[in-house]
Amino acid sequence: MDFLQRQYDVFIRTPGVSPADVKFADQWLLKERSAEKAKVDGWMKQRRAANLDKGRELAASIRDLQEEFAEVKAAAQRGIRPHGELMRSTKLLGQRREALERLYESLSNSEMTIQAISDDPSAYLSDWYSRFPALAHQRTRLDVALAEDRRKRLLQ
Amino acid sequence: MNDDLESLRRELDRAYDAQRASEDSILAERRRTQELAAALAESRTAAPVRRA
Repeated sequence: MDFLQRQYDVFIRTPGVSPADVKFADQWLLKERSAEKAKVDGWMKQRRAANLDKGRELAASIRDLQEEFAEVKAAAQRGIRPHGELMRSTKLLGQRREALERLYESLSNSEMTIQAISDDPSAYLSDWYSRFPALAHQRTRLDVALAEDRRKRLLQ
Repeated sequence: MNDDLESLRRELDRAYDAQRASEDSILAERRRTQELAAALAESRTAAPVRRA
């Protein structure tokens, strides 16, 4: 059960809530849900942009590597360099290829995480605030919002 | 990004193929050199002994 829903459920079961209060709580839940989503989506947008940059760099490195493999192959076919030396270069290039594979894997993992977070922003925020309890007072509260709304309604 | 990941995957696979291709051509080159050396050695030992 997420933070917003829990507050809503507790409020709805309180004896003596007026229809106007219930209406306000319904609207509050919808509004705060979309606010949560917008907040998390903003964070994820930054992460996605960073990943896109990393992806472009990775693509350039892979192209370089392919060219260098092709150079080694051409040198071998022309027989202009000793094969021991060519074998060593291939081995080094292969190590670079494995490093790029690991980079690709971490990029995929990061994308998977971003996807999971965007799919369930409430769960992500619950986890986030549980890691930083000092910030919990910043979270929106139904009782505070409702008190404010009741006061407004009284003044009308 | 998912399209990008797919194209990165394809390019990495092509890099792997390029590695195999360069390894194969190095081995082929070495084999050629060895065969050449063997042929040369054979032709030397098989050369007719010139009589005085």
